[in-house]
Amino acid sequence: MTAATEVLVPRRRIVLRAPALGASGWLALAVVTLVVVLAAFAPLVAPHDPDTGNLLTPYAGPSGAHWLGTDATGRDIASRLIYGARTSLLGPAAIVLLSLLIGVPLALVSAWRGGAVAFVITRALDVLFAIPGMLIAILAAAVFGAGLRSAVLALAVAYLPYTARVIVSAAERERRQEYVRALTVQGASAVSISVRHVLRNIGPLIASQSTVAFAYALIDLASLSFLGLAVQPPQADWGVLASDRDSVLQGHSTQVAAASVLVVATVLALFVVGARMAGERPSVRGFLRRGRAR
Amino acid sequence: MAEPVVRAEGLTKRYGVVTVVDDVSFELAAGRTLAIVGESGAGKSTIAAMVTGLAAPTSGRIVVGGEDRSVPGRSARVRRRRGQQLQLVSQDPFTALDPRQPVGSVIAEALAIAERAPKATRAARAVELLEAVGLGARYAGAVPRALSGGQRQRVAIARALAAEPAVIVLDEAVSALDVSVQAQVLNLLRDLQRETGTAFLFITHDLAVVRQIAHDVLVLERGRVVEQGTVDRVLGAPQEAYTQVLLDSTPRHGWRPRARRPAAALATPAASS
Amino acid sequence: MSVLDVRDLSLEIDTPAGPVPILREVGFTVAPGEAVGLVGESGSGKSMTLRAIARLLPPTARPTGTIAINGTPVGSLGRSALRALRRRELGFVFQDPRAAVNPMHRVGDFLTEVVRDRRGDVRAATARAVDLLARIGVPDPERRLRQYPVELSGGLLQRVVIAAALMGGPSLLLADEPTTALDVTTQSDVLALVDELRREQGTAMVFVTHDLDLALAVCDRVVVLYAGQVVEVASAASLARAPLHPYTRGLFASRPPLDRRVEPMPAIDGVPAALADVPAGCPFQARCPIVQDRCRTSLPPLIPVGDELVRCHRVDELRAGTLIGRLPLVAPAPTPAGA
Repeated sequence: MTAATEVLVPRRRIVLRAPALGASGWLALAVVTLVVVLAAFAPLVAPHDPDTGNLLTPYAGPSGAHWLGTDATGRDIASRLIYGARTSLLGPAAIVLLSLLIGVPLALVSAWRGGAVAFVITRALDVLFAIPGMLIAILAAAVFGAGLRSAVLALAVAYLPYTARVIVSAAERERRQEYVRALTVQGASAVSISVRHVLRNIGPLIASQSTVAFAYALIDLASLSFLGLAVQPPQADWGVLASDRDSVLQGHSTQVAAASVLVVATVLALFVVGARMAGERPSVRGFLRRGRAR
Repeated sequence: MAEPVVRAEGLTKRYGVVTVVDDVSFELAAGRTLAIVGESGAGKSTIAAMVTGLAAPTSGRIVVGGEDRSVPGRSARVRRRRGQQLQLVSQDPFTALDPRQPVGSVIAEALAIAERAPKATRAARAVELLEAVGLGARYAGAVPRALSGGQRQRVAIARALAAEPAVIVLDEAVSALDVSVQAQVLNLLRDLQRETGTAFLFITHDLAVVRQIAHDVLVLERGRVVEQGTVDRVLGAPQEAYTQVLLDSTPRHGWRPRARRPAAALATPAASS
Repeated sequence: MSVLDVRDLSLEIDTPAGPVPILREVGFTVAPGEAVGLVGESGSGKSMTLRAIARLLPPTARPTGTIAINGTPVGSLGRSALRALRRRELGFVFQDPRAAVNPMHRVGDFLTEVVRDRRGDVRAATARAVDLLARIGVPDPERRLRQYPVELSGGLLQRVVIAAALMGGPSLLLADEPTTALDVTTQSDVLALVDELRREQGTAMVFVTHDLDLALAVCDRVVVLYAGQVVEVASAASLARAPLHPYTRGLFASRPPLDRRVEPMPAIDGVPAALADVPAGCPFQARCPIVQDRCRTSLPPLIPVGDELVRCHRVDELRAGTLIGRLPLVAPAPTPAGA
């Protein structure tokens, strides 16, 4: 007994099908890609070595040799900004990855076990929620000394509840689906169901969530570097470069301006992409609202 | 007589002070179909949950294939063995399958979990199963989202068959299907039972479906067994008033709705069966 | 004058992927006090038809054709006129009673709201409500009036909803699968109640259901829909006795009989289609056991046969009974009286 008119079998869709990014989304993605490329290929793109200065040509204006001029010790600003993209991107990446590495398993366990386990995990995350991330970072700097590593660890801990909370509710919803029951009856283990099915189905959510988290981590880390609590000078890093007050006082604001613009542009671009991936329309209000909750 | 495939003894389920299932006992023999029929709140789904191991009985026990299921299985071996004996097809075709998983992969995964086909032959066996339920090999790449309700239920049945279980629990498995599709699926189930000798525990509220699919039937009212026996006997010559009421309320050719009014009510005399 | 006159109702829905056709030239009439059933499976468009009549379509819907209630075309009514019409002439019962009732209001408020709208006397309205609840078999009606919807079971609540819908004395009741979510015993009670109240007040009804037996039991006439089009219209009596259209006959034959086991059950090949999926020609061509070449190219019109309408090119052969062998058995022998 076959069914006569059947639905034609559709072509298998690629898992991450091109989402409806829209014009703003594609533009933002282009910006992000550009930054990533600059960071990845810095040695090839940067015209000069970022750490070698020429004391004979401090504070030079923009020219053919130095596109954005030089800083107080004659180092090429443009090259420092390009190399600076590396720490500015690696730091937040590490933060997001760490918080995912701890947060996702925690969320899956919480969604799966429910009951007392979920209660304990959720409350613990709530406690973390209550403490502002910056405060944790400053405390970490005070206790372990200022530096990129302690800042990254502190922020990873601070960002944990943000990643975990959304994933927990999504995982709980998937968990309640009928197909999970069916797989359980079949005898599949909790781990295999969680990884092969639940995780895969909430994958897109995690991806968009992480992109936005990356954006916020970028600002936070840059701010900490600005304050001297994360990346330390003379390391080229956007936050550090933006904190060079001396050059501003002396009337040379190119470096600070350029570094700040890069931070803002990248963060906004990331936010737009993340929002689009989640299917939302990015808005200033949304951006500020999420920021305020931190 | 051979050991029944499923045996329930004094199954009871209480949630606090509410007793949802009260001292239910039944047996399901190999290759036969037992229907558990009742209205909402009768406890049928709770019984299904206890039989499949998704809920634990408050008292009483479930024995499937000689093994006491009241104790939850923790190790992978126990879980697998239980999966090899009993499978579940549930009501809602739309959430019963992982929406993003291609159908062929669903069946292959079921084969892997139940260890019924080595990796080399898994794909071929999956296609065999798809064909057995009336879907062709060309459905292997389809995603549940693209399929109709009836097609999804067929996939769910194929998935259950993959484990070559002794018994399949069908919890309102045809209730959400269109009438014309329901007939197809009922025919399919009967054919499959004849070919594979799998027993069915069929939970439903529809007596007409019971007549078509089941050998034996158990009538449940508010958690208690009202009547039990072969389908011919129970539906043909019911001995309990409740069974008769259920029969009378089932729409069929020549049927008219009749109200049962409480005696206190009013002008028109209460018209009962 | 008909209570309801639907003519050439076609419907398209705008989606991101383009307009999707749902209904094509659906038409039927409902006489005062008459109950007409709309029967169909998935994709038939029966619910959409009802929504179009009630003007409860989503904003992306684009209907064409005319729908007239008691002679007034509803498509052109302004908002307040539409509201007045609904209040005065229409009653609604949908599948889920909890969606129709405000959970924050007591049952009594819900019932008297309908009456209050029209009479203005709350005390009299409350007394009527108590009376009505007693009629539909609710014990202790005064207490029930003070309860909230969540305290009533689904069946009881649906009875209250129906009572409220009919209490205002509308000329037309629109019911969309009102008993599908209820137990069979409750369904029987509820439908008997609807029948009784309807006859008392002379209310006409459009009853949407997927259950052919139910429609035949409850309605005077039945409209069978397939893939967004009308394929057969007949009185319940003649449809029960001798359905003509191959789809209707297939539907009849696929119902599981209660009185005996049938092996194998006659089943229509394939899956129910929606209008968007059918190519040119007859919507049923892909599943029809007596399909011919002309069925694939030309859409059969609705052909009158006695007081029936059938959309099939081979209607003459159907009527003459020469195709009996090719089509599934017509209705099985009726069960003895008293059932």
